[in-house]
Amino acid sequence: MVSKTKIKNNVKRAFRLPNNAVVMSMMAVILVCAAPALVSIIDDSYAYEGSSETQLLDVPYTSASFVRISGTQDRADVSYISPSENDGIFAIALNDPADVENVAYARFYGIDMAPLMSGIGTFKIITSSDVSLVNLSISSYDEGISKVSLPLTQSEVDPSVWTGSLNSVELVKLMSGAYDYMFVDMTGPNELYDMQIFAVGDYSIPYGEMIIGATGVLLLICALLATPWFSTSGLTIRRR
Amino acid sequence: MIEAIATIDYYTLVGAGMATVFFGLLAASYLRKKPLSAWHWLTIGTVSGFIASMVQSYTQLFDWVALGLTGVSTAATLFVAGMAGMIGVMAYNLLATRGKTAVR
Repeated sequence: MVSKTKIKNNVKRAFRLPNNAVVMSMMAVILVCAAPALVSIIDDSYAYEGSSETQLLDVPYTSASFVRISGTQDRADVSYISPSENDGIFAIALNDPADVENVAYARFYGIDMAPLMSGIGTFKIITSSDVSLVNLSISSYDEGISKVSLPLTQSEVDPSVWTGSLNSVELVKLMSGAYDYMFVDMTGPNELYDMQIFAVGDYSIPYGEMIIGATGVLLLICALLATPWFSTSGLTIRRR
Repeated sequence: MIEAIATIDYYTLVGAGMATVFFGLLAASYLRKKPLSAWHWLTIGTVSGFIASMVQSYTQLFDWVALGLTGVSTAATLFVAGMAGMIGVMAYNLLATRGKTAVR
């Protein structure tokens, strides 16, 4: 039978204060995992209800907006009306209504990204088309930079409204100017696809970068303290 | 169906590697009772890779490292510098103490 004193000693040993090395390695793990986790949690819980909306219009772009024929790489014969000629509404209409049976999705190119450079990462799209999926993508001519794909969520109150927000990582990439163009895909057969696109809100605080940057500084301090030459009491000439 | 083009983001791969090495070194610092063989290191590496990928799926850790490596964000670069500093110090300590401790 194990004596009470032995159990007491074992419990005491299990809960004794950790030494510096253990504290330092725990700190490192907490910093590396917790900082991005905190940013991620804030991103998920962050719902911006901005009153200001900036309508995104068109810019000259080399690729034309199109409608893809289902199961092929072919495009339907369409007419495109740019928002600058149509009260801010992007529109693609099928020239032959019979093609509607075979439509897979419509893609709008040439959306002006300039208003997003101030750090706006929430989008709102209003469409009168009957679509099942709206996806916004931000891409670069440089194939080494991965594309941002943002599926928008349909409003339960107004089905014509679709919204979505970029997370901190995507927002940092966007503001860095790494991306060159943006496009919107709408899935669901229609004879006419139309959309108005808005950037919602003003400049947002880069909390993600602030948390990650501060964590980087703390990690550097931890790295210094983890060397044999530095301790919390200062520089040690001899090794600890 | 919307077409997709598969591209490899090498910076994210480096981020995955850094995170795996980081967790591997931390794990190694707690396993100092006996000398570690190549098989131990393989196991530690596998488990660390799994942990790193779990951390990535919840926190986008690799993406932050990739942002720092590309120099797109100063904050992310500081984070990568801190992480690289910790990895360097832990690796040095493990080598200098013959595997006894990673943090001194």
